Amino acid sequence: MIPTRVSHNPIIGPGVVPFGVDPAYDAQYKLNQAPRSHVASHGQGKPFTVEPGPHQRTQYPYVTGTTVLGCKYKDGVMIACDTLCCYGSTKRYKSVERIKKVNSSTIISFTGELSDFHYIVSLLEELDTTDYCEDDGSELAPWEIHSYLCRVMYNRRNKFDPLWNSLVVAGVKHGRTFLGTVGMIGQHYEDSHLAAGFGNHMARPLFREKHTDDMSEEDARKLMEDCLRACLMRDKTMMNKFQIAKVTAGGLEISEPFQVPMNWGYEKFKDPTKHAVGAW
Amino acid sequence: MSGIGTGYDLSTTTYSPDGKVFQVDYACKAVDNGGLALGIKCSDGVVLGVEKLLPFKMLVPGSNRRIAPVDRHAGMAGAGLAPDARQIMSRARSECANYKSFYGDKIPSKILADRMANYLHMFTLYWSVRPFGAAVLLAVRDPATGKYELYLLEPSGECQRYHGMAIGKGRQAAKNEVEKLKLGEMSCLEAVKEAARIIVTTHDEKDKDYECELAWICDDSGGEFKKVPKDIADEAIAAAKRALEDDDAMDAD
Amino acid sequence: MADNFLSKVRHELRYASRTFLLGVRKGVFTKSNVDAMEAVKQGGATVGCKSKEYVVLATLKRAASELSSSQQKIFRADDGIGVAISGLTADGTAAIRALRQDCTSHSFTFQSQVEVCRLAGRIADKWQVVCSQRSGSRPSGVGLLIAGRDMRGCHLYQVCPSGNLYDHVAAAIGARSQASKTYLEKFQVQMDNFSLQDLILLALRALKEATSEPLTKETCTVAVVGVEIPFRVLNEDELSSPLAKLTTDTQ
Repeated sequence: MIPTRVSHNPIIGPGVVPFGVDPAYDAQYKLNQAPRSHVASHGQGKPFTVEPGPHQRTQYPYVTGTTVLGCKYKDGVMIACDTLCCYGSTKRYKSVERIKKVNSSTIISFTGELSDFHYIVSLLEELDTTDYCEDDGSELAPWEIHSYLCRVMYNRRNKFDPLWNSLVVAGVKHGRTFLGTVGMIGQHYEDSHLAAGFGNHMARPLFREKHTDDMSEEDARKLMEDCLRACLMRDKTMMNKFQIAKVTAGGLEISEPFQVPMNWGYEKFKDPTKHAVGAW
Repeated sequence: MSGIGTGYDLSTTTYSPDGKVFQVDYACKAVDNGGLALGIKCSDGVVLGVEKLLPFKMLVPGSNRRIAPVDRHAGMAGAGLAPDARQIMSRARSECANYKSFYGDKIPSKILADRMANYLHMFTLYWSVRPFGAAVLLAVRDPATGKYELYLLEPSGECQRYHGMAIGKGRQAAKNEVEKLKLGEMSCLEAVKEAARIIVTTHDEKDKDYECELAWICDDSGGEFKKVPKDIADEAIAAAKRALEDDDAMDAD
Repeated sequence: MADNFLSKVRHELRYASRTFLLGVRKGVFTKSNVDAMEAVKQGGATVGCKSKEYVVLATLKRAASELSSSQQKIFRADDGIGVAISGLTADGTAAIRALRQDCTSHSFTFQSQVEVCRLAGRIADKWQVVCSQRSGSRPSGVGLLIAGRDMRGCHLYQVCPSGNLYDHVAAAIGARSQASKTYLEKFQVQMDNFSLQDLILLALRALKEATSEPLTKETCTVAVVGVEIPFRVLNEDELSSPLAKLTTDTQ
C-alpha cells in the first residue's frame, strides 16, 4: 500500500505529493512500483511476476460486434445487425447470432465485447428461469429488462469494471412498444429509432429523415436495409450478412441471415485519388 | 407413538433407546397427513399429481400450487406442510441456478436429487433446526441422456428413484393402484388420466374440498416441466369424477 | 389427578418453549408454532375482500387509552399494495418494513411494481425459515392480509406466522373473525362484480360481525386499491356514507 499523504499545496491539490518533496515517501513509492515475484501459498508451482502499477480492470474489448439498428413501426419493433464479431480489425467470427431472445416478448442485441454480452445473456436467462419457475404467467416486460440492464451496466461502471457493450432492448407487451438502449457506463434512453455503435453516426440521419412510428412493416424493413447498406459501405468491421428480428404483439421472430444488394462499381470509386487530390 | 412425553422427541440430536429419531418420525407423520401426491414415470415422461386439500372455502381456484417447476427441465410436487415444501422448492431452484451459472449447463437429475437429499438431511442433524415436514416428488429430464426420471425425497434425507410412487394421505391405496399400471407401455397422456383417477378415487370424503393438480414433463411438453394443459387436465378429472359417481351408483344398486 | 394435569402442562410447555419443533397437539401433528397463530387471534378483526377490479381492507381499531390515538393497522407498502395486520403490532411493523424494502428494491431495479404474489411468497418463505424452522427466534406473532393490484388484476393474500400463504377471494383474520368469514362466504360468487361502494359496504358489514360495538369513524379503518386506483386509506368523510348505510342496516 502506498501510504496516504496529506498535502495542501494549493496548486497541486489535496492528497497529491510530487516527487522530491518527501524522500521517504518516494522510496516507498518506488518499492511499491517494483516488480514483485509471487509464489503460491502452498509453495508449489512456478513463481510469477506481477507487473508494477495500479490494479487494472478491462481496458479495451477484444472480440467486438459493431452497429445495431432498431426502429419501431406500426405493429411492433424491429432490430437489425450483422453476424460478424471482429478480433481487433480481423473479421474473425462470421456467423455469430448477435440478436438473442430474452423471453416471449423481448429481444436484445449488442455492440462491443462478445464475451461480456454472453455474460449479460446468462444473467437474463436466470431471470427468465425464475419467471418460468414461478409459473404464474407473468414475465418481465421489455422496459423492465431495460431498466435491469441499466442498473447492471451502471453498477459495473461504478466498480470501474464496465461491461464493454452498448445494448439494444426491444419488445412489445401490454400493447406498449418498447425500444431502448443502454451503454457501457449506464447511459440510457428510449427512442422510436436508435442505433448503437458506429451506426449511430451513419444510420441515425437516415432514420431521422425517413422514419415514422406508423410506417408499415415493409417500409420499415426497406428503410432498415438502406441503413444497413449505408453502414456496411463505410464500416470496415461490418459484413454483408445480416439478421433482422421483429417483435409484435403476436410474438417474436429472428430472421435467417440475408444479404443486402451492394454496388462498389460507382464511377467515383474507380480512381479515388482523382477526385480528392492530395488526400493520398 | 411411544416418543410422546419421554423427552426423546425434543431434538433431532437425541436418539430414543430403540434407535429412532422421533423428530424425523413426526416429520414423516406430517407428510402422511397432508394431501396425496403421486408420481408416475411412463415411457415418454413423468406425470405428477397432487390432491390439494383446501383449508378455506374462499380461496381463489387454482391458487397455492403444490406442484411447481424448479428449472426448465425439473419440477417438484410437495406433500405435507405447504410452507416447508415451498422452502424445499426454493432451495432446488437455487441449486439449479447455481449449477447453471457455474457449469453453464442444466443440472443433471442425479446431482439435483443428491444435493436436495443432502439439504433435507442437514435438517436432521442439528439441535437448532427441525426436519422438514414435507416430502417431495422430483421429476427431471436428465439433460445428458434425455431420459425422464422420478425421485422421492423424504424429510429424513432419503432419496430413491422410482417408476411410480405415492406419498401423503391414502398413499397405500394409491400405491396399489400405481402398481397395477403397466408403466413401461403407458404414454403420459394415458398416465394423466390414471393419475386423476387415482387422486379422485383415493380422496377421503370426510376431508374438506380438494383440487386435483396435474403437471408433467414429457416429449409433448417439449421436455420442459409444465402444468398439464387445462383442457387435458379438466377432461381427465371430469372423467375420473364421472367414473367414481358411476361406481357409487352401481354400489348403491 | 393433579399430577397428571401438571405433567401434561409441562409437556405442552416443552414444545411451546421450542417453537420451531414438530410437536403433537390433540393427536394431530402440527407445528408447535400454533401459539403464534393464537397471537394473531388476539388482535382485533381484519377483513379483506375483492372484486374483479377492487380490493378492500377493513380493520377494527381501538385506542389503548382515552388519551392515546389508536394503533395504525393498515399500511401502504407501494402504490398498488397495502397491508392490514392482526396480532402483535410491533411484529407487524417489522413485516411491513420488510415488504416495503422488497417493493423498493424491485422498483429500483425494474422500475415497475413487484408482482403481488411474489411479494407475498417471499415474506411467507422468510417466515417459514426464520420463524418456524430454526431455533433462536420466535415466530412472527402477526397475520397479514396483503391487498394489491398488478398487471394480472387484483389480489388478496393471507400470510400466517407458520409461513402458510393463501390466495383469497375474501378473508378475515383476528379475534372473532370466524363470524366475518361466515358472512363473507354468502357473497363469494356475487362479490366478483361488486362496485367499489358495494365492496366497501360488504367489508364493513363483515367487520361488524366480529364486534359487538357499533362501527364508527373512530373504531374502524378502511382502505382500497384497484386496477385503476392506487392504494389509499379512506378518510373520515369518505367513510361516513357507508357507515351511515351500515346503521340503517341494523335498524
